[in-house]
Amino acid sequence: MNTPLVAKYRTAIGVAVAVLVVALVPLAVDDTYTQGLIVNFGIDALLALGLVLVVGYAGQFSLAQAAFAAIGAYGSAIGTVRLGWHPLLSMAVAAVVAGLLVYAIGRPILRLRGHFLAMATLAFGEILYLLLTNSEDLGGSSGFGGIPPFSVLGISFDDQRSQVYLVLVVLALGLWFAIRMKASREGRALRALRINETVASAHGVDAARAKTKAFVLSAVFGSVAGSLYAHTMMYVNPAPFGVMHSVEILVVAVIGGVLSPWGPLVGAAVLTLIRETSTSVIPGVLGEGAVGAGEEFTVGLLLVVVLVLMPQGVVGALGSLRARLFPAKAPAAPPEPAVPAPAPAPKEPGRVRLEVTGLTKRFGGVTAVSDVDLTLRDAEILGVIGPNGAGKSTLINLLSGVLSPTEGKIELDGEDVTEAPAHKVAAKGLARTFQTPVVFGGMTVLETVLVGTYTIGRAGIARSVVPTPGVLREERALREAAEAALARCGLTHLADMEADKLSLGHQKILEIARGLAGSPSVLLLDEPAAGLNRAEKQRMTALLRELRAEGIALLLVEHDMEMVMELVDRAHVIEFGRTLRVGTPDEVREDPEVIRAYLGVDEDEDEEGSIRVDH
Amino acid sequence: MNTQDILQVILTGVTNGSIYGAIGIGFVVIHRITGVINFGMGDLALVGAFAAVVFAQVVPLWLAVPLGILVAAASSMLVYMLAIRPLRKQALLVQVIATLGVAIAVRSLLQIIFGSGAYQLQPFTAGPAIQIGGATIARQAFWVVAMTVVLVILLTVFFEKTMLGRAVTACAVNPFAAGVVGINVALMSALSFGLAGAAAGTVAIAQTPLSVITVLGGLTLSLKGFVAAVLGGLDRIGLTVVGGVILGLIEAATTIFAGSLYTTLAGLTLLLALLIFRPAGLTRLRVSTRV
Amino acid sequence: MSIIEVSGLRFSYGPVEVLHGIDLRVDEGEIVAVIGPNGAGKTTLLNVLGGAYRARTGTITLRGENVTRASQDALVRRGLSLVPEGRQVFSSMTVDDNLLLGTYARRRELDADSLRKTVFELFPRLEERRDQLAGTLSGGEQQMVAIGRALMSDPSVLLLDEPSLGLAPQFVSLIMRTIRRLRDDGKTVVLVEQNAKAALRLADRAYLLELGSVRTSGPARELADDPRVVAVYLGGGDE
Repeated sequence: MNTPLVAKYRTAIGVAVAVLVVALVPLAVDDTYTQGLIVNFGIDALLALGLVLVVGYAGQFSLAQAAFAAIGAYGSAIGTVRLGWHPLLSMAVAAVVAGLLVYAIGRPILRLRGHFLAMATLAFGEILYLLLTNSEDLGGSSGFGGIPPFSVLGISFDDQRSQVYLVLVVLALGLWFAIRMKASREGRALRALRINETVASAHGVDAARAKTKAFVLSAVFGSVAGSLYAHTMMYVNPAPFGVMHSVEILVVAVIGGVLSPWGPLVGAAVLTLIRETSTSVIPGVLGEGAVGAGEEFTVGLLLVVVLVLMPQGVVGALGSLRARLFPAKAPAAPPEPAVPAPAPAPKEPGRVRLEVTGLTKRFGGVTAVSDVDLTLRDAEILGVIGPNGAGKSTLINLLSGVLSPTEGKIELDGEDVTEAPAHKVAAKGLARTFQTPVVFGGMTVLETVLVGTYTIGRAGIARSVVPTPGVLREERALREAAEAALARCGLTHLADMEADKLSLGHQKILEIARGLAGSPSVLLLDEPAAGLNRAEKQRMTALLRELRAEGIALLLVEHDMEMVMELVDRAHVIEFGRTLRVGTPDEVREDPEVIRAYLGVDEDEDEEGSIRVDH
Repeated sequence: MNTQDILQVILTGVTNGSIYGAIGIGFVVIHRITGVINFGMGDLALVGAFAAVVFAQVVPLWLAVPLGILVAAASSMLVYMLAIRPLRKQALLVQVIATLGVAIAVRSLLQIIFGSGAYQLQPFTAGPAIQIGGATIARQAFWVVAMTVVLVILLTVFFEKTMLGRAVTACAVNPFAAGVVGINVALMSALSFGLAGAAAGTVAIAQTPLSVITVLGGLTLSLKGFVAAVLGGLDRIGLTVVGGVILGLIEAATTIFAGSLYTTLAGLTLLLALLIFRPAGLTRLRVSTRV
Repeated sequence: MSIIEVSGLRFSYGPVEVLHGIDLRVDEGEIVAVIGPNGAGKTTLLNVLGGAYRARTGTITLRGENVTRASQDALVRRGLSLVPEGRQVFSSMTVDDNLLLGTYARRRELDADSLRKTVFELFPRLEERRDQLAGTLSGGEQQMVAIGRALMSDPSVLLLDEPSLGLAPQFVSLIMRTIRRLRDDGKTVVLVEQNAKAALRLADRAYLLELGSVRTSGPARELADDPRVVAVYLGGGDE
């Protein structure tokens, strides 16, 4: 569907269309009523766009969008009317205040599990509303007026048509921001985070921090929208900033679809339609007094119905429709997949990368890992094997910082990382894969691997939105790293496929490609061959051999003994969390203790009934 | 500050706190079994109260009260079946947003039916307010407190001593194992919504003769009940009522010593502070992820 | 007479098929072992048999009755009980409550007290710990709770998933002896085990699973000497 030409100039075409719409719509609309509707639509869409950053990108939801708008509106009002500031300065100061407040609330609360943020924001919104209503200085519940029209660079937006321009331009900028952000390094990190926090952290993403950033941005969007509102109304009072409006914004975001920056536009249009219909239809049905309640009822019901029938919203539903009408076909495999690896950073074989001593992990009364020592060197594959439940996965979780050990020490490149959380361990060059491949729905194979490049990039959200040469260069470098990782895993031909449409075999290899994308010095593999067929296993074995040749230190947890024995330099057998034996594959395979651990005891029949179990 | 004021704060605080505690129990029961935070808790409680008001027009009060409780329980279960159950395969986030939609729909439906006016029930026992050491307390307040206490006892006995209660708890502890022994987890989730509705509805009805109810009170009730539930760690029924009473006392003290303008503000600030500084409430449960 | 019959059973997690058409038969009063390395699909198979997962295609009959789509509740009421992998006890509830919940599906027809007495005879240690929270018990004791809980529904067929997993040797032999005793009491047992030696010694017949298919099956004693078993487990076989 996307011809190369369209794809190449997609951004340019998008911008051109947006400019045309923004330029022409206000010219085409003449009556002030419709102009007013467009202004309201734009402000709602902008508010919802801010919420999409939190719900859609960070997987949390907030009920303070109207409160952020209140900060913007009152901030602009106080700045311009009381302090005589320039409208732009007032808007900026209000946005900064909103951002700071939200940082103070979000930073602690976003560490919590569950849905505390929703309740906290609800309380925040109510508190602000009460304060505004009771503040005599700010006119209490009747508010105050006299706000000048917005002006910038000597242009004053004083008639309604110019205000339509103003709102649409800001909305277009917001949309640009959200689109750029979604495709940026931090945006990818957030989307990965929403789907699986553990996996995102394993790639170096600081979950609480990333979510807080998204939350702060949503407040800035809300505050700017509020400022625009104040300047178009030229008057502020608390009533429009109650909790119900926050809920309406949530409905706008949900109806449109929280995963796409385009969702709010659709959602805001639907809400405008509902409002118009309720004011014209409800009085006839339920009487004049029921307009507000009737509208709210529709909003509440719509929220539930949309969630049940199309949880991805209108835009998401259209997307799946398109996917069903034009199913993407898996491209045929290229004749010769495996591309030789690019020359890796020189690594001295035999150099100790990972040194573990006395590692112990207890869960309540159960000791999952007990006093394990191990050493992992460059250019070697260490197999960690043992019967089911021996503690192998716990070991990987300890090494990668997902769990913190009860006792013992972990050194990575000579540095103590025993207590370091997963994202810090990842930043120091340790990557891992997961037993069940975690693919991020809605991301292509290339994007999935790009998540793995997080640790080698630097650009934050704000910088990646403005396409400066530095940012473009970095994004290009990340893309090259991701493409290189795909190439060495032989997945290049699948780069544009949706990752969740891949076969299990390809998903397992994709896990490794994502792990490699950040150029790690240590790679921990959690059962890479589980569930693979014979041919896929052979491909996996060949890939791991190449990685060893490149000098990467590999730790392999695997149940397929054939593969382990064929591949590893040394095998570390654990049972009941303890080291049973460490040795070459042959030594281990012959060891009677190891055979016993795997196949069990052939105990004597005549013991029947004679054992008293005491311990 | 004098003893009369302090006594009044205690009497008012415990009465109001019982109501918050009961709504909080609703949050806790649902959260324990399903993980959902039900934004509609306060509104569902009010459904019970309004139902009791309607029933009281046609049947005697002693019948109207249980009928109202029944309506609260049934509507709460209905909410589960219509809005939560169909979303069982979606993320918890989606289910929680759905409860918000339900809350709004219920609230506005009540408003369409009853308007925004105030409604009241007859007190369960007639008679003048009681004077204790200069402080005043309505007779109905004793009903509120007593019914909350009975509620806590009944629920505790139910969860710990009856087979059905154990089965509900089992779903909370280990849903997979609950399925293995033949417990229908969906049915128990619906039951937990029903219980939550009944618990919150009971005390909402008991307080209706004490102060008026309006359709818009649901959100405030939800927020205050949630404060109690957070203090109870979203897990402990007894501690939730204790949490409710703490909130009630703080509010009553604020009203007397700072003025009623600040009553709600005090509760909300407490909630925000709790979530930021002490999300486990009065318990020692682990609620934060490793950072 | 066969009590369970499975034919053409397929099961998928999302797009990934993990059981590729399993045929299996269990006769009344026998112990059937299902062995195979990790990832072979043993646990999935047992969970499908126990009704925890629904099969996509294929049929399962219990005493001739088609139970492919039966709920877990219905299966327990028909006398089939699952002891899941990893014990899955109700950790914050007492041993007594755990056992009592075992009767849940048949609470109206069964006498919990006498069943509990039988369980305590089998595992005297549980009687000593009856008021303790199940989560505070050792792994072996939790396994006793899990088996005891399953027995509380007075099943005729017991599905045991990796009962020896992660247990110290003395517990393994205790559990194995218990299973034999249950068979001697007339129960039918399907035993999923990685511990192949112990399972094959105990079982009458066995199935060797590899990658979601039955690799081979037959009398347990024959499988015990089959080199393919060792090859499947430790690799380095003739393929």
